[in-house]
Amino acid sequence: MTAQPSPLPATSARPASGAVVNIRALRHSFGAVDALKAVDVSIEPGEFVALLGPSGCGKTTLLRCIAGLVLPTSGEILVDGLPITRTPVHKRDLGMVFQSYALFPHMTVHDNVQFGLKMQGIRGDFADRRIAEALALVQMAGFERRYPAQLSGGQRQRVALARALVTHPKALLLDEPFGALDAKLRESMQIELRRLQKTLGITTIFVTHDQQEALGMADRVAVMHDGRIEQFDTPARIYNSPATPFVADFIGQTNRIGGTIRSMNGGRMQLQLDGPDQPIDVAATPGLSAGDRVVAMVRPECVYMASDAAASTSVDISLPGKIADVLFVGEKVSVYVQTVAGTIAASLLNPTRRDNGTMVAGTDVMVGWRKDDLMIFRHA
Amino acid sequence: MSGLPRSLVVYTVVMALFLIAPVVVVVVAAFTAGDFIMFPPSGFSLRWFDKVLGDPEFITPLWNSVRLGVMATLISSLLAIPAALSLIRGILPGRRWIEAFLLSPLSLPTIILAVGLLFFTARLGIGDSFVSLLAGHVIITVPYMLRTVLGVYAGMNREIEDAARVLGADRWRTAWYVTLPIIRPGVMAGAIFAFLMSFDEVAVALLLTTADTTTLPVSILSYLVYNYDPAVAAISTIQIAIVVVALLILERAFGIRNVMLTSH
Amino acid sequence: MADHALPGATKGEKGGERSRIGRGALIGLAPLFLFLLVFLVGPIWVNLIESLKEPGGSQGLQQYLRIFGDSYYLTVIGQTLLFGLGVTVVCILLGYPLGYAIARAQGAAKAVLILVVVTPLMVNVVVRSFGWMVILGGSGALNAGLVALGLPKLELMYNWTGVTIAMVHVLLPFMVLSIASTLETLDRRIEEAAMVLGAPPAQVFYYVTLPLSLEGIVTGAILVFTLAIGSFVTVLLLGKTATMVLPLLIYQQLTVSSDWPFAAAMGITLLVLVSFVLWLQSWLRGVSAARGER
Repeated sequence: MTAQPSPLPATSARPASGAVVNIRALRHSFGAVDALKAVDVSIEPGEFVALLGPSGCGKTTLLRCIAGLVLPTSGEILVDGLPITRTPVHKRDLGMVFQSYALFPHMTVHDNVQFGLKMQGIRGDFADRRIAEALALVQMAGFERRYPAQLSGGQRQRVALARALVTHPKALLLDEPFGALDAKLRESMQIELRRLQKTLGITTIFVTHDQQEALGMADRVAVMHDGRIEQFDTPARIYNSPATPFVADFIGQTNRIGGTIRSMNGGRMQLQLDGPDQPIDVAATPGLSAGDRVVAMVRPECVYMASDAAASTSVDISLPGKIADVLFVGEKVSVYVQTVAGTIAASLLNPTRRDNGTMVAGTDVMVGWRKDDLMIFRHA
Repeated sequence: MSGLPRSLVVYTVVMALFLIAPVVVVVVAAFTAGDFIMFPPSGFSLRWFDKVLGDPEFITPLWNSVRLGVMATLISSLLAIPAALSLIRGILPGRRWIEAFLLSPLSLPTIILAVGLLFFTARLGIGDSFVSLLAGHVIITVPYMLRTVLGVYAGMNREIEDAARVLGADRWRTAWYVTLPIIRPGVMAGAIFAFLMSFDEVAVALLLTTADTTTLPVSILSYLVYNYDPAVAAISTIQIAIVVVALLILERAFGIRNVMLTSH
Repeated sequence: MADHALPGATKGEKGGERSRIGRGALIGLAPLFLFLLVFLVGPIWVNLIESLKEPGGSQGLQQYLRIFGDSYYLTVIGQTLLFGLGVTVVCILLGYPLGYAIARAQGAAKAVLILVVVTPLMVNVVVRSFGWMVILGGSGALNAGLVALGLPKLELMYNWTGVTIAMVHVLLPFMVLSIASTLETLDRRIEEAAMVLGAPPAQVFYYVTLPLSLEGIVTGAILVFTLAIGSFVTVLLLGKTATMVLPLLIYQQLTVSSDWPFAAAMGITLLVLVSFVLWLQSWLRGVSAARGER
């Protein structure tokens, strides 16, 4: 201990960047089911990445593969360029927060946080300082002697976070960590985690099925579906330029309208939507050719609604329709309008005291949107 | 018992009396002052306890039983705990069949096990029948141990073990620092239960004990066949007292319902 | 480095989820498995070999022919099965209401009831049978009471009545606990739903509670039956030659007649009977599981 340089990183002089995590062609099969089908992801140092998808999409399996709790069938996981695919869980030096928190019920808060250090052989004053530091980080100083059963849900969450961070892991993995919290607490924990993550600069991978959580917290979001990553991009691009119909559908709300490509001409194409009489001229989607069936999607907040045709000049496509349903949700009103192209949902900012009279079922209205707001995909 | 129909309450009390009657009768008969087993007893005295406690014919088997029970329980625990952890954690083809095999002694009549062990001992020339006796008791107790540990471990949040491993604990340290402490109450309950099973066992002991290794139930049985005096009630009462104490410990530490009310 | 093969990752870990533990699982299971192989399967195997010995030193089924060719042994086998059946039926009838009461009782009452059921279970069979001898004997507690009331004495010992009473007492806890376990897991709201739908208590019981607790009854019944046809201490103490059952006969063949091959053959016969009942149970379970899936 005396002559050798300490292999431990100095307490406070941590580099402000986390590890690079690369995942290459990762596959995993549960018997006949392919939970992961050739997943590739590259995560930058200090980046906060959310794995988002419906249950069964493989997001948790991917996280558990990174943690080492599941062995992939093939493929590679690299941390800072070093393959860890075959490294046993306990030698990976990662931090993880579990959905159930998974605190050790028979240990105090102090002992829970100490566990990781103890496994690394770190003891004494140095360990105690690190524990105090970690608990202070999550604002749980003073709770050292409590047992998990004596803590509230939010407090357990904080202890779990402190336990995961105390060893200064290369990356932090979180498996739906806020699933068990109520809405208010959830929001404050989201803000706090985000702040903490930015302060520490730790590479963070976060699994969630809650798109608002993913879009709100992450630097980049990987939308997963059926064992694949459909799109890996910034929240804004995920929302505004979904790469696949699944992403468009899964994130936010969409109106789907069938259509056919009439002709292609340079960078433009003629799209005939099912319903309206006239074809429209839109920017060509790469990979499509004349005669293809497509699905055109438009988000409800891009749909304009007016009581007569004259009012809708700013839109490229407008259809007459009849209000079928009105759903008042507070800051917004969702109006469902029956048109030749099917039911079109329009999401309007709550027009208090303005249009209330006309917003009743059975009213004739015009709905429309700009053609640039159409997201066009090949029909699956 | 509020909320239950009155007739059911009455019935329950009657059945409770039926269930404890033979036990109570034995205990009461042990305190007789007379020379014969009678109910109600004639007078009160502790003379039969005096006789029994000073009689190696009873005290030796009592110690034999305690020793055998403790040894069988220890061996059962050492065999059953790792097996239970492996059964639940491991990925094994035919897990259900392995589990059925490991629990199969539960449905095997002990006379068959006893006869088999007797032949086994004789044919293989195992000189010391105590080995077979102990093995027999381990076989009888191990399924109870296994079942209790399986139940407790299956109910444990598995993410807790994952958390330990991610934090740097290998499989053994995870078991030692995390799994075992968490399942300890279940293990203790299973152990007390296993001990009582061994402590009560008759068939295997009857065929495999020698004069040196006779257990308490066997000595009570053989005494009963030839004598019918209150001494047997007194030693039985001592046996009952040991059982009740063990059950109270079990109830205090873990709750009997958690051990007994498990759908298998 | 890219795309290197991962030997072992796919092999033997088809379930996938908690891989890497495959080997550990074997290490944990091996001691118990081997122990049972040696001290459980071994003795049963030796028993089987023993049962095939014939007087002349040859091997064959002569011991079994002796059992099945003699009306006495056939009667004992029949008696054993009937006795088991009778004890099982009585245990179901007496045990169901008690199991129900335990499952529905709360707090201290429940703890006391469980203690009352479990305590006799834990007191050894010899002592319990002895207790019944004290109660049922010719000058026992029960007859003393009858005489005091001026009633005639009852012959309760050394016949099937006494043996059955004592055996029911020995095995009733198993039935009660099995039924209580099932009823515990039964969602009370299902019964309440039936009540709200207008079913009187008897109908609720018949159409809802009983069918849903059938599994507990079957489990308990199989357990009680196999234990009843396999135990001999109660019969040894409270019965006589007329109340002979198979396990007691085995015991006597071993200790009195020292006819080992014959005792072994009877042991195997008993094992086959028990195995058949257990097979019946798993078959019934399969049937009810299949029905549950539909």
